[in-house]
Amino acid sequence: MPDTRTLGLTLTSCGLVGVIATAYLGFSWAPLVDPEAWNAPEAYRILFWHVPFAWASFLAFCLLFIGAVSWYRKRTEWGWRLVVTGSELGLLFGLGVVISGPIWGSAEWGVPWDWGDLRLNTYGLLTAVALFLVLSRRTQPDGDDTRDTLAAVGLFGFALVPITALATTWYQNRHPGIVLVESEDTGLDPQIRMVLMLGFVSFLVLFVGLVTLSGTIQALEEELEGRQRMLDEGAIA
Amino acid sequence: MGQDALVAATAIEVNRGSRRVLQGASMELGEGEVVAVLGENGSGKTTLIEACAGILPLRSGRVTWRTESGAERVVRDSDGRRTPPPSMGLTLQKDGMCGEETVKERLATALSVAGRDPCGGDISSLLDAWGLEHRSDDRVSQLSGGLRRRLSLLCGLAPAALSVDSRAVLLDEPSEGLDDGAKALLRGWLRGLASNGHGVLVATHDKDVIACADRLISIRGGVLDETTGESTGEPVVLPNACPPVEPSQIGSLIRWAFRMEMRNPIDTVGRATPAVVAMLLAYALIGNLDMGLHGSGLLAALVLAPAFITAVTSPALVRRLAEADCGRWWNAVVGPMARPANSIAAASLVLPIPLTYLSWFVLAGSFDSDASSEVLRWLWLPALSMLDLAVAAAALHLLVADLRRASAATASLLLVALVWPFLELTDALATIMNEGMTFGLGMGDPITTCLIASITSALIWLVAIFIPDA
Amino acid sequence: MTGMVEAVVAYTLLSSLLATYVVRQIVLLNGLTSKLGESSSRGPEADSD
Repeated sequence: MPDTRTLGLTLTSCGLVGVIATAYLGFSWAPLVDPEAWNAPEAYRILFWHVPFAWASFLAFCLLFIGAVSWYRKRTEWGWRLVVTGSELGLLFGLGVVISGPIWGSAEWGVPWDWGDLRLNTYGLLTAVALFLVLSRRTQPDGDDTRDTLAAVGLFGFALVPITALATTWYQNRHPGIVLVESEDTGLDPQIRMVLMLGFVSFLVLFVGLVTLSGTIQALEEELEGRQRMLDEGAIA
Repeated sequence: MGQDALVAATAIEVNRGSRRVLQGASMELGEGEVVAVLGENGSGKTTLIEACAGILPLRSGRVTWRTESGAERVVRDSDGRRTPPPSMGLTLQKDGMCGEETVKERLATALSVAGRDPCGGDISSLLDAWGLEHRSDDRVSQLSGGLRRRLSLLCGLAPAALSVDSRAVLLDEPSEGLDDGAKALLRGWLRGLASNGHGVLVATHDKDVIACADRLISIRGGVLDETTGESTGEPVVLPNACPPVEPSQIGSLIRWAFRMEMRNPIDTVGRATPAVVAMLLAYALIGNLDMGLHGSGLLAALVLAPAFITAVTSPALVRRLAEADCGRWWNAVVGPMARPANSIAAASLVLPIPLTYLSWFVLAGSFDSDASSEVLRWLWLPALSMLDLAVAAAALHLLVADLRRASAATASLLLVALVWPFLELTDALATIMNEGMTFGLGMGDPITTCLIASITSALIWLVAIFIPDA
Repeated sequence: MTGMVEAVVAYTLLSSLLATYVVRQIVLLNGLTSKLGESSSRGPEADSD
C-alpha cells in the first residue's frame, strides 16, 4: 500500500507542477492571437486548460464505461473500482469542461451554450451522470444491488451518447449555430502548440496520479471496512 | 429438477449488501409438501424466498419453475436471464401492499394476477374465513398490523387454494404479527394446501409453523442443510377451486395503478401544481411584453413548459411501489415486464394536452388571432408527443427508484437528457406558429420534428428500461 | 485585453476545482491511514483472506 500511495502522491504533485507551469506559460509566454480574427483574443488562453481538461475527462469517462461494462457483465471488483474512479474524475474534469467552455464561448462568440454542439452536450450529459453516480455512491449503502443500479446508470449515460449525436444533428439542422472549434491543430503558433503539449502531458501525469490515489483510497476503505466488521463481530460475541 | 418439483434452486449464490448470503444453495419444493426455511436473523431465509420468486439477481446458479403445462422454465439465472414465473402465491415479509387499496380489491388483484376468476361470493367467504369480511371496503392503511398481516397472508395463500393444479406458495415470516387464532388458521391452511397437492415454502422461526412442515431447510453460513419435519397439524377444508382464466399481470398492474390514483390523486395534483405555478409566473413576467418582438421560439417554449414540468415530475407510483415492498411484490408476480409496464402506468398521460391548451390561452394573448386559430387546431400534436417524453421520464425515475435510499438520489440529473425532445417540440410549435401547419415529412416540418422528439424519447425510454434488467 | 477577465475567471474556477479535489483526496488518504492504524491497535490483527 505505501508504494501506490507514494506513487500516487508523486505523480499528482508532478502533474500539478506541470499544470501550473502550463497556466503560467499560457499567460506569460504564449503569444497573443490576431485581434482582427478573434473577438476576445485574450480569452483564447482558456484553451490551455480547457482542452486538456476535455481529454482528461474523456479518459475518465472511458474508465467509467469500461468499469460499468465489467461490473455489469461479470461483477468484477476491479470493474467497480473503475466505476468509482471514472465517475469521480469524470465529474472533476467534466465540470471543468462545462465551466470553461461556456465562459470562452460567451467571450468569443457571445454564445455560452450551443444545443447543437455534440461534444459540449455530450460532456454536459456525462458530467450530469457522473455527478449522479458520485452523489449516489455517498448516500446509498454499498452492495451488489446498489452497484448493479449505478452501473446500469453509468451505461445509460453512455447509451445516451449516440442518442445525443442524433438529437444534436437534428437540432443543428434547423439551428445552424456557431461550431465551437476547440482543438484546431492546423495553423497554431508553435509556441501555443508547445504550451498545449505541456498541458496535455501535465494533465496526463496528473490524471494517472489521481487514478492511483483513488485506487489506493478505495483499497484502504475496503481494508478499514473489513477491520470494522471484525470489530463488530467481536463486540457482539 | 425432479418430476414433482414445482420450484428448484440450483447452486445459487446471492449477495445482499456486501455480504455473500447464499452460496452453492440447492433446494426443491415439491407438490404436496410444506417446506420450512430456518435460520438466525440475517442467515438468508428471506433471500432464499425472494431468490425463488425471481426478485433477486443471482451471482451464479439458476431458479427453475414448473409451468402449468408441466414444462421447466428458467425464471432467473446468473447470465441475467429473467422470465416471469408461473402463477404463484407470494407473501413478503413487509406485506407488499399499498395502503390505498381496499381489502377486497387487494384480494381480487392477487387472484387476478394469478389467473383466478372468483365470483364475489368466493371473495367474501375467503375474507370471512380470515376474519376480514367486516373490513372488506376499508383501506389497507386503516387496518391494524395484525389484520394487515392476515390480508397479506390470505393474498399469498388464496391463489393456490382456489386452484385445481398444483401451485407453489412462497411465504416470508407469515406468522409475524398474527394472534394465536390466526396462527392456528395459518397452520390449518398450510396442511390443507399440502393435502391438495400444492407446495409451500415458508421462511419462519415460529416453532408451531416449523412443526407442521414436512421438510426443514436450515441455513447456516450460506449453506443449506435439509432434515425431515414433523408434519403435524390438521388440514382445514379449503374453498372450492374456481375456474382458471388467463393470468393478467400487466393488465392488473395498470388497473391497480389507475385505481390508486383515482382514489388519491396525489400524482395529478403533484404534477399540475408546479406546472400551473410556472404558467402563472410566465404570464406575470411576460404580461406587458409584445411577444411578436421576441420570436415565436420563446413563446413556444413557455407554452410547452408546463406540460414538460408535469412530464418530468417524480411519479406518485414510485412512492406507492416503495410502500411496504409493494413494488417488490409486483416485480415478482409480473416479472421482467414490470418495469416497462410501470413506466407507462407512472407517466403523466392525462395532463400534458389540456395543460398545453390552457397554457396557450393564458400566454398567447397578443398572438395574431388568425394564426392563433391555426395553432389551436394543431397544438395537440406537440402535446401528444410530450406523452412519449413523459413515459421516458417515468422510466428514468423508476431507474433511480431501484436504489435502496432512493429518496436520497437526485433523479433530476438523469432527466437532463430530455431537454432535446423538449427543444424539438418547441421547434415544432414555433414552426406551426410562424408558418402554419404543413404536412410534409421533410426536416423542419412539424410532423417530422415531433416524430424526432418522440423517437428520441423512445430511445431514452428503451435504454432506461432494458439496461437495468438485461 | 479583451477577454482577459474571462480567462482569469475561468482559470480561477478551474484551479479551485482541482485544488479542492486534490486536497480532499489527500485528507481522505491520511484519515484512512490513521484510522487503520487505530483499528489495528484496538482489535486483533486482521487475517489476510
